[in-house]
Amino acid sequence: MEDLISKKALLLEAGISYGQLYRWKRKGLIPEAWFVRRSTFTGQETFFPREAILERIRWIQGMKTDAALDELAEKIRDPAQWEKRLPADIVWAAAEKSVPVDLSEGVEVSRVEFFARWAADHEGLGQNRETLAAFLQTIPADWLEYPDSVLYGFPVSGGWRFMIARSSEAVWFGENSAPALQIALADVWKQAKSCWEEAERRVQTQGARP
Amino acid sequence: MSDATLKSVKVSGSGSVAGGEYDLVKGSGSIRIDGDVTAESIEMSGSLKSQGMVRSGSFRVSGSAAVDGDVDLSDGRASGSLKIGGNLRVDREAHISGSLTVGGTIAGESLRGSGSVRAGQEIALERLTWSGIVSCPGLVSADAFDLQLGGHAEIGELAGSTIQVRSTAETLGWLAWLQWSIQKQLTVGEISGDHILLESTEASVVRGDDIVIGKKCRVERVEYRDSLQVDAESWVGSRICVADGHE
Repeated sequence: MEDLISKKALLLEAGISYGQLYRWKRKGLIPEAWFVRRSTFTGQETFFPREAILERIRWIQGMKTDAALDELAEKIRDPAQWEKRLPADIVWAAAEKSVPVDLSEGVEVSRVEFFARWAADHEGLGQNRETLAAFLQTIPADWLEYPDSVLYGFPVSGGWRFMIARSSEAVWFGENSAPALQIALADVWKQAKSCWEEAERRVQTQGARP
Repeated sequence: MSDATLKSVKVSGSGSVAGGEYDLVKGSGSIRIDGDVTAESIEMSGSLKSQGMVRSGSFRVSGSAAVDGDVDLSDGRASGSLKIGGNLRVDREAHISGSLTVGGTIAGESLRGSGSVRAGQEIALERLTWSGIVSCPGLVSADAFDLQLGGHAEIGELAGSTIQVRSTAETLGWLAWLQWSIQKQLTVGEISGDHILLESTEASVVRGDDIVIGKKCRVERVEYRDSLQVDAESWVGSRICVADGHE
């Protein structure tokens, strides 16, 4: 049977208020389906899937700004906007970078693809840039919003190994095995988003021209 | 939307407006809108009927207005009767006097006014300040919920940060007596909030941090964290202090 937690136990365990819980629900950060109504001996009670709700509240609390929360709410509400694609040449021009050779003519990219390509663009990686870009596209969206998520890369025989930690303070790699690559992902993500917005504006003004 | 190419349409008497994008839609008399309409501003008086959805920055109607689809507005003002078949979304604030009936949900920032507000499914707002009646079979959630009862209100579940339900007449003299003669009550299943003040409320469970059960309430079970006051005119079945670490 699924492990459930009652509303009042959740408030105590997570240290949040009713006001916060329902504010997040209204924002769409806590799915409707997680509010499970059950009859108990004291009448109707609301329960939540324990693991899922506690994890969700932890990351909501990890978000430093309301803007990050709004963005996530937008993604949950409107995946189409998140999946939106723009011409690669305009996006890279907005970032004041030259377009990767394989993306030149009429290719469109999504925001996450653009971010992944940009973050993976490191000299030392050589051919492994593609491996890293593909890896970055699989990160859960909320991990990108953590203010201190860091990517580590280690050369291994025949390629590279990558990992992402949500705090730079608490990772032990072992003796003599410091990562060869270390990227503050949240910073790159922030820059990528502002370039993306600029690209959206450019596409709009281009579209408005006759 | 502030595109200079958008046209305005003004109708008086009896007429219809085709769906589409407009700067201003203004009308008086009996107006019908055919199809979905998006406008910077809509101003109507008299009778308005729309079969589609309405999206407008500013939405002002007086008289009777009926929209079959969704209404999406930034600032709204309605007096008289406003009926919406779909959902109502308020990006900033709507002020209603009279009756507001919504088939689906009311969601958004702030709704204030007097009269009656009915939602078929849910209400999810940051602020709801109302004088009169609120009815909704589902969840009403608002960061600040302030209801001055003017009749019999019924709500499935009420949740938020600050919840106030009052029945005390603010007027004096014969008007106060008249108000007194109307039965004012809120019937609700469960209430959960951080700061709760209730009057003339019948509830099965009330959960919160600071709870004041004012006069004429009947609550089967109260679970509080920090403080609880119960008026002598009210009845509370069981009182449970839920503090950190124990129940």
